[in-house]
Amino acid sequence: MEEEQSFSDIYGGRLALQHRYYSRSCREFCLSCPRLSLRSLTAVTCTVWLAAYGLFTLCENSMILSAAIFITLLGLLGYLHFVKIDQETLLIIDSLGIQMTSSYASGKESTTFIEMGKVKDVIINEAIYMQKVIYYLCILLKDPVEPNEISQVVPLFQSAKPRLDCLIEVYRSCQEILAHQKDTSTSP
Amino acid sequence: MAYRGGDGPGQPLSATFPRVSPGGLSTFRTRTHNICMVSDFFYPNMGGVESHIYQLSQCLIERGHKVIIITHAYGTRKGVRYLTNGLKVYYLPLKVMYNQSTATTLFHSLPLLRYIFVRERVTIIHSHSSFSAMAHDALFHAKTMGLQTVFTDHSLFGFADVSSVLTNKLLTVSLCDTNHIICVSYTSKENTVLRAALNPEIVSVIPNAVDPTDFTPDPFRRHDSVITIVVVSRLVYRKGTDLLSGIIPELCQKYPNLNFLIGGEGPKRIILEEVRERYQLHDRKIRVRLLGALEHKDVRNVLVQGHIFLNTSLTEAFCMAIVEAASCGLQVVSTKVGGIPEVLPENLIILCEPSVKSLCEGLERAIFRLKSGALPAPENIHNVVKTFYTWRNVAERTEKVYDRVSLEAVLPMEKRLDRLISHCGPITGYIFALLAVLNFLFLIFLKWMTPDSVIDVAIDGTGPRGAWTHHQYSHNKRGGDNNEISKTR
Amino acid sequence: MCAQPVTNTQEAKWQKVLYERQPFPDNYVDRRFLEELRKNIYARKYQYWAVVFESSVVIQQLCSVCVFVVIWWYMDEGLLAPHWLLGTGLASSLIGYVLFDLIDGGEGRKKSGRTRWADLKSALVFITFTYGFSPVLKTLTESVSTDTIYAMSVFMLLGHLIFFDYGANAAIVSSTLSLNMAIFASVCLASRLPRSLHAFIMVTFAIQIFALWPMLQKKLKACTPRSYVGVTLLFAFSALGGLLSISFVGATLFALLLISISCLCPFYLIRLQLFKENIHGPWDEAEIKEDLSRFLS
Repeated sequence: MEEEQSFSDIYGGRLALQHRYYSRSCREFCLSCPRLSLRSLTAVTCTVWLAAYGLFTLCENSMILSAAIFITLLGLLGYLHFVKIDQETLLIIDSLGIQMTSSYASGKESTTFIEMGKVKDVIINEAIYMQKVIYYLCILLKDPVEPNEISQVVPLFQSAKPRLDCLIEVYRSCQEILAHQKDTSTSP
Repeated sequence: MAYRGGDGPGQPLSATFPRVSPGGLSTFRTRTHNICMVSDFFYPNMGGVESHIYQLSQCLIERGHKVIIITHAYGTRKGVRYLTNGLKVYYLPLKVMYNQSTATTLFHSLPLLRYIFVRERVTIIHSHSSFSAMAHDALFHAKTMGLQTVFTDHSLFGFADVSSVLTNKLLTVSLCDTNHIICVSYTSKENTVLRAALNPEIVSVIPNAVDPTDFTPDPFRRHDSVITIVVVSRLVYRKGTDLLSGIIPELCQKYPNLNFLIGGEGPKRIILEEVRERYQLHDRKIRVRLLGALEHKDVRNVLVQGHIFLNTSLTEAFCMAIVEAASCGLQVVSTKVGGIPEVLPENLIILCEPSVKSLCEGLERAIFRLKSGALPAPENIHNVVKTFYTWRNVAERTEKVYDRVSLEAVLPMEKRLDRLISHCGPITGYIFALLAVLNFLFLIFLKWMTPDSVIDVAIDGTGPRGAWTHHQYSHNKRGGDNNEISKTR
Repeated sequence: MCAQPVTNTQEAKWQKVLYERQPFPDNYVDRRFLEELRKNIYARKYQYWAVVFESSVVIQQLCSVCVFVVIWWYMDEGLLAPHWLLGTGLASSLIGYVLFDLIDGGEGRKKSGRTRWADLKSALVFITFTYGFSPVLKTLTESVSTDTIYAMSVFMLLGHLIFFDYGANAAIVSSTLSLNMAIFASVCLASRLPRSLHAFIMVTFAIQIFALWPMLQKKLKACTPRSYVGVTLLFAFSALGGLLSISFVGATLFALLLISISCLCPFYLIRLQLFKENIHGPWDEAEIKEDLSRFLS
């Protein structure tokens, strides 16, 4: 079963949330941002080149122009490979664990896995971020020594930064699975 | 303004967290406010303003209002925290400049404060303490955003020196278009009205309060073979520690069975130690004991060990210490300065001029009364005092101020500029009118950058109908924050 | 504002107390509001001539600086022989020394307990040291450009005038700093003179005019105000005369400055006193009037 919903991020941009219900104990959430638009790419390139041309007319050194070309190219590569995240996926499997994958625009993927035994809870928290106060979803990890304490907080969807309505959607599903997992682990 | 953006996305909340049944609601007032307390001074800092904000907020939550508190970050304590009853505190990462007060540029705090005001749907901004730069900033931004403003002044200020001339000018600017001002005593009201050139009609007097259950007498804790005089104050010049250093030798030489118990810390502690050394008041049995800094919960245990409480302050808007002492059943001897004469009725306090001679006479009168046995029992004094000042009463009266303010119109921009120019003098007026215009333009820019509809509405966690007290989901959801509460308390 | 029905507002009298619930709204303003306000209770009334008399301290100091600069200019131009200045300086110092004791009949000396022998010793020590070090003074600032020296001297002399103890009780006053700045200026200027003897005499003269002369003035002012006025006038005219011999414009400006300080400024002070509005009331921080040092010393 798969369904897709549209939400917005904290800046007002569009986000698409895909649910995939594989089974009662396995779900996947996929948050995807719009791809890099040609318009913004053109705008940035034009500004850099115009600035470079302005500098060139001032000091009449053609090195500046070639440097500008290199900077735009390298900048674009770096941006696509290290900064721009197109998709963030949260795969949560009862009895196994939680896997977070972020795919960069260049195709690079980075994956983190947290096994269920370490997960204490999934919550929505508030934080001050830049000049904003935002809600974010995070996983609380158990302290290995004292199981009632929290050792670490792992924030989810760090690059997409969806708004509260989207977070609640994901949060509910996670809670259902966690509750299910608790039931099954305590009942036998 | 905050309400106007209210029907954007973010409304599903009401579906997620259903309110309590209508029967529960009927006990609350028909009109509730969303109040935001702003001050640089809040816990973990300790003092009169801090406890005032906390207690007042708790009582207002009890009465069904939504209250949040904004202050600056204290060390590692930053971000959002929850206290008892879901009282939400924002510790904003702003730079502290001097004496726990933040630096102000009048503009840099606007983005964050505006974001919080909008997401919490705040309708009334209540700033505290004239020493707090953040409180004045919040007033300034709130007026730009068209929110109602209330200001509480906790301190007295003279008119004599250059620094007071400047601060009074700033206060004039800050308060000239504030809707209502609250002072803690009549003397403080007179002072504020003069300093800020205000219409006295918009200044209310609502005293501070003391939690009477914290300060109960315990006559068995004191030894009746000796007479103990208790002093609890910071040991600084303004609290009259110099006077104390004159009183101690005078009285100790006259009365052999007189002891002093002094709680508090400060730069003037050294002179008390010198006095003790010089008059050898600690040779066989300790006659002058310096306890050092006291935590608030220990104050009562110190107070009940004494018979007479001595206050030597040189200036005081409303002296909480003497009410606490009287509530513990002690006789109070105090200097007659500031708002102190208004605080306790004549039969519970002995007022003296701020001089060693007069204070010694006052203390001798108290000792005489004690020896003659003509005093009411501490329990009776406590029963009288505990009716005087309660936080519930303070909250009720503050609520009336809110009710009144919420009906008033906030000055529109052009009238606000007129007010600034006509009220604050030609130069200052024009400067701050310009700043107000710039602030307004900055606000328009911010609204363009992040429209109100993009800002999530915060979940209301305050009070008995707070988000997580009734709903299973919400309870789970707030697990992490509840942990934090247990940490904070 | 007040929720309770107010029935007998007129009969009930408002009290300035907080512990009683009164049948008035919280923002009630009584007729007694601000009745304890007092204005200008510590304001002083000034007499015009008294203020003019007090302003003479400033005049004296300005003139001292002027005389010092004029003398230096004469030395620098070679119009004034150093021996002559030394002789006059020593003679006037002696006269001043005798006067200093004569004015109050030797009471000040008895109080301080300083002997003449001690005075003589310190004078001798100072003179020999300055004489010994004058060649050093001469070469000390050789590597510094003359313009810098002039600018520094101007700043130092201005600083001397700013920090000088005119008798005001302000935080900025520091007589040691003021004296040090003046001596520093004199060392700077002396180093530009032709020979080391000149430098020695210049520094000695600076000590006389910036350290010793104000002491004598203070005593004169306290004991014989009449002669003090005479001395001030004489001193001012001699300074003006000296300046006139160098520059007519400078002398005119200086004269205007002196007149405005001694006549116009007091006039303004008294006029502005009328607008004074000093507010006092129960909110003022109490002052401790007794002397508490007896408990501690």
